[in-house]
Amino acid sequence: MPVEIPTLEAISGHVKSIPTLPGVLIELSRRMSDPKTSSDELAQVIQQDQAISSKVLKLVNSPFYGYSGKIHTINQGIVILGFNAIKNLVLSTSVMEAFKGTESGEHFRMEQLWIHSAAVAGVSRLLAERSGCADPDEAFVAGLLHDIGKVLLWISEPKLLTACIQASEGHGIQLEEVETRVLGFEDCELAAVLAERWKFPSALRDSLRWRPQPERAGAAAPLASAIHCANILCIAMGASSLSRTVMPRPATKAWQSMGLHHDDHLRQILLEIPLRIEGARAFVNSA
Amino acid sequence: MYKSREKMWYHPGAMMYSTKSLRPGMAVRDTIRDAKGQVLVPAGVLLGDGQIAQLLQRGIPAVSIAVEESEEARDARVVARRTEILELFGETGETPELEQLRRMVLETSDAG
Repeated sequence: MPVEIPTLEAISGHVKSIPTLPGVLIELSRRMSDPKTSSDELAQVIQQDQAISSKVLKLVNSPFYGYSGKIHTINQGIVILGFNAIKNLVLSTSVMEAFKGTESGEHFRMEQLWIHSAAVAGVSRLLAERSGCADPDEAFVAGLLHDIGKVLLWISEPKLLTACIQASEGHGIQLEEVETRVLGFEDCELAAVLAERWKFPSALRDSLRWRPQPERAGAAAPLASAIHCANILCIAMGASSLSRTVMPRPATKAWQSMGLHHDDHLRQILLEIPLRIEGARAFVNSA
Repeated sequence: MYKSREKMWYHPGAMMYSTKSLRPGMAVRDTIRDAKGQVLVPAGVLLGDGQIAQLLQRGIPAVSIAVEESEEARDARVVARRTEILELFGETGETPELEQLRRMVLETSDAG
């Protein structure tokens, strides 16, 4: 019996079954565009959602952020970490919460995926800080969400994703290439659909869409380059989302824009990655 | 150097220790930085009580500590990691960036 291959539109339809992100995010974006809004007012908006507030406080006090037990209120968090960092934490925790309870499979482990994603988030932040070409907090969120299309594909078509993963491992072909051949689209396109539905900023959406080819991301190219390189570096250092990954090829322009073509800089980054991976485990355990 | 075994040879390696399990006298293998990249303790420093307390206070989860290991243990570890890297990269050189990454990952792996 021939296997029915769903279209991008059909799988995108499953997006409707994914919970919407909390209204607090929309309200935050609205208030942030008004320069007269004070940090007290912004804190009040976040505190309207008790579940999100407590998760954000738990995260900023986790070993990942290094403020263990020091930040007691959202307002304090805004003062110490900055408003963008807190807003991005609200976004990260909301997304992770939306996919909570997704079961793993033999070839697709949710915990491994989140640890990989958090490691990519940490390394994306590091690359953005060192290169100065992207906002470190935005890079963190983009890194955390870079594989969200795979999760959506897993939820909607687990057998097809498993077949793609097995073909990728068996033939030594990039998963994205297998997805294109089998499905006619890549998981990063699904990530963009989800980003659109959740009304993410356009730079975040475009960086997720063009992560495998960051030079095509237009104005979001620096952000896409940070997560593209971070993903490759984490895989090279043993923190992959899959048990057997085919090594992706770095895009020359992105690699150079992060300064990674200099051996000394690449060596320094590689030496810092194991600690970021440890931090990723702490982040996932606290989220 | 922190002694990981009774019997030792003098070949440096590294082991991740949770910050809670650190003890004075352990040598930091890789520079410890906070989430913003600022140096907290440089590589090579022998930890004291004050520094361990500071790391705990800053919520640093784990630290890479220099350990002395037997020559055989180190060789086995390096070979295992090297095999993983070669499996991952394959007969690379496909692109200059991939070849550079392969070379640097092998170099940092061989260094300990």
